[in-house]
Amino acid sequence: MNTNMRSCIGSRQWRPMLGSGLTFIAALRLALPAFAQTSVTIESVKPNKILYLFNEQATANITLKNGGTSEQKGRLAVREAWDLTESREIMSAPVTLQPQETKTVKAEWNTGSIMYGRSLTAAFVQGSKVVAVKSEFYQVADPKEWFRCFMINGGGKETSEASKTNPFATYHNYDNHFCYALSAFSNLAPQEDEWVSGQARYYIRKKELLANIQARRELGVRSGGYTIGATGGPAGYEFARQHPDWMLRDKKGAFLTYAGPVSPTDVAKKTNEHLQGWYALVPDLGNPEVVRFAGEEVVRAFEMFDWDAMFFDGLYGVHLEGNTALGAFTWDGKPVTREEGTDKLSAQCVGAVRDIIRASCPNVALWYNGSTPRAPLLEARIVSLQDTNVGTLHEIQGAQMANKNFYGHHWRSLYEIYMNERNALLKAKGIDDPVLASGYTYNLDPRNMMTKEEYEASRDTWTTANHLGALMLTARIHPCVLASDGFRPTTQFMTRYSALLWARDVKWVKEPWKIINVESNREVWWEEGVYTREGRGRRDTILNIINSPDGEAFDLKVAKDPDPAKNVEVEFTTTADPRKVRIWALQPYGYGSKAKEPTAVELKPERDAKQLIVELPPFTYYTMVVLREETGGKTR
Amino acid sequence: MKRSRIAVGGWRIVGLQVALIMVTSALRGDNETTKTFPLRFKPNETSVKSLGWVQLKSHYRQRGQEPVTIEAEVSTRVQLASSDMTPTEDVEASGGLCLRYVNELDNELWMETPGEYQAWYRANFPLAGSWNHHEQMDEGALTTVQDSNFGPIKQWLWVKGPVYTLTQGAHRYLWPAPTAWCGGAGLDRIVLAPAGAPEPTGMGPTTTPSVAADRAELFTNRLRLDEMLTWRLTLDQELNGGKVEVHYSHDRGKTWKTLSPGKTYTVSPKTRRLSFRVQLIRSQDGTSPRIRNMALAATLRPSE
Repeated sequence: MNTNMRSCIGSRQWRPMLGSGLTFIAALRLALPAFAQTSVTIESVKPNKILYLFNEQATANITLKNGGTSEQKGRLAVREAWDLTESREIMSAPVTLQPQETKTVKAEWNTGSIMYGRSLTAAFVQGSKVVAVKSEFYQVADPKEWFRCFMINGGGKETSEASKTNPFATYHNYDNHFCYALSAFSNLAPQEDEWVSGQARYYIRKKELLANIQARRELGVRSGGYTIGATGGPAGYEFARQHPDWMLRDKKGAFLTYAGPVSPTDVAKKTNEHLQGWYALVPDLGNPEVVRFAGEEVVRAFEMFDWDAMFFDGLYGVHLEGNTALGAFTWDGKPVTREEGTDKLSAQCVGAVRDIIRASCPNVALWYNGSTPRAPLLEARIVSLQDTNVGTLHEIQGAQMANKNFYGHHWRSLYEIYMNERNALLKAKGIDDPVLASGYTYNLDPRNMMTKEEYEASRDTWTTANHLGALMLTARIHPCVLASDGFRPTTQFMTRYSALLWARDVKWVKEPWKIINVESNREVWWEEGVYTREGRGRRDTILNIINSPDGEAFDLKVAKDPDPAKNVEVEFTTTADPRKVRIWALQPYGYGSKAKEPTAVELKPERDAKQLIVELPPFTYYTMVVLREETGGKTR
Repeated sequence: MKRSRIAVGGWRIVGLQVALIMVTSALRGDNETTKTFPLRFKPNETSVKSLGWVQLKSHYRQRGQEPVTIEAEVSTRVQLASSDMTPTEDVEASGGLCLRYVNELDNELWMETPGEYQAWYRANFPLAGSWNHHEQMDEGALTTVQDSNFGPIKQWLWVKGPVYTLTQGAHRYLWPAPTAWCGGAGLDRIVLAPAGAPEPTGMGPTTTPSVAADRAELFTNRLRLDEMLTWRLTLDQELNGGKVEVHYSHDRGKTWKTLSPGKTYTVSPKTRRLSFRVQLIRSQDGTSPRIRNMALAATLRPSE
């Protein structure tokens, strides 16, 4: 019998610990029975940023309210927690609240230089009793590697507007300004005050854009630009006219087009007039002059907009995307083929552009669409990722997932796509754990993809978003998700526990079933999502466990949670002293959770010699289990 | 093929990700509920799950210097895009069957003659488009293969793939999930022909013999019986001249008891955990028995 576990049920030990430092919360738990008998609540904990850099001075406003009729005296204790069990006191100050008074207290601290997610937990303590507690979550990053913390979450019905001024509404910490430029290859730093995007018809006012970048940066939201190896709009066409020898041609000698025929009336328009299409001409990136221009143009964009990152929508390379039915030639008639030397030339191009950027902008992030290493263009893809502060995006849009003919339409296939991406990065030689991102999901608003009744029943696509979040958590994916409130539990969990997900020292465990077994009545997926990290005389084994969706296929209209996975048991064979193994289960919050914060529960295992068996708390979508062994530095 | 179902009177469970099915038993005249718990098998060296069936793992064994010719639907392991899909009947396909909506295809090979081998696929594209898939040999790089670039449609074609250098011995030829043939492209056969050999024509060369493993010992996931009063095991099986033997354990696999087919077992406090061991034993003619839809049909305790 799992007597240890049984004895925990219903006791304080099963009380969820709200996303905070366990040491701190362990102390709080002792006082929790008094929790419900106070008139004081902590209304909000608001750090001033969602993503800090090392050694920043941070502040947080903590708002308390006395909803009762008598004066309340106590102490406000604020602690910052990180990783799994680490924490420190930020402030401790007496607070008196008059009846019905609301008071905001400011906490200040230096973020220090420990990377990844943190919680700031405020507790109102009377005597030895904690009578109110609330947390908020953010990350702290090395400026040279801040992209390891990035995520995009546009939010849904409840949060999309709020997130513009409150990034904690979605935990969004990065804005990418897609297709912002006049021409996304050649005019990345426009001299104009306002213009229409040559690619996507956005109307851009430079002053507003710059002000928005600055305002968001003050909230810790970093900003990035966009480029692609093809021109756009009248400015792009003018660029081609000025540099005819830099552009590829078709067999008739006309400029080679990437995205369809060019409308002469459109490209004759002014740069602030709307266009009917994207007129993409293809630069000859086999020409060193063009390569140099490409790098320098990106640098000019960084200088003008103070971008924190640049997204390359595909590698800059000699790989001839698009319509080559009419052949492709350099300006002087040399044929450009898909095969011969393209990998090496593309690799040279990618490396040269990157080197130009890095010489001026060492700390910016560079991320590339589809640069996960695989043939063809294997070398170029690898070169793109031989960098720090670098990432690759595997673009899968929501509209694709919803298409039954799409190869990721079925949940298990989507999971395998994500795992293949992760594994391709692990397998490639010469790269050091670059960031893997995926999106853009729900690129169409789900409210426009179903009836109002279906949308309401789907709870803003809560079920689908949470399944997708579970897959992303397990595959170490930085999400680029849009248009559902259902993503918030995932992005919040990622924010708090990014150290357990995205840090370089988190290593994938191959064939984990040799040391771990997960048993469940309901199908759960875990075998591909086991990681380990070692240091400070201990080893953490990190399991990501996904509750399987009820249906095989991706379906935005699903209206209810799956049955929770209950009585799930983890068996673990330790090489260390089994009495000293500690085990935690962590989960994002669920639909209808009172406290919308992740939970962390320390579990007591059964022991059978070197084998430990632990029953997990029920989970609806995802749970992370951390098994901590004291190894004294010995590796497995 | 003779197909039987143990513990008839259960219900069919199709697919990996099927929700637990709850059925209120009106016949019993009380509020007792029944619930089906699908069982899953742990990874095993000598068995595979292919097209929903668990069976002995087979491999294609090259004869001399002949090309290795794989019948797609008789691959070592086939997974289609969803569990309700089956091989497609097509009179113009070899054996009258082909695969559409391939999610993953896994073939184990034994090469007698080392050398360079050219991959060919007998394929049929339903509409003009840029069709491709991923594949890899052993631990080699994943390669994206362009299968059709707006080429002919609705006819069987031989499509050229990569060239692999193969040593004598065992190889694993994988089209990892998910391939990009999910849009409905048809796949009939795969040929690994000595490099330089002419393009296959018609149906292509004779199919290479496929050899199944002798036996496999499979273990299911372990169930917790806390909410159950009774249970019985149900499954579909095709013996094909071989044997299927089922044992169960309540002590995490320390001891095993022979299962009595069709018997309903009562849960006691000492039998809180339950797992199964299934042995598949090949027939004398080399054919594998196979099973699917193994599940526990349980009556549940009244909820508290």
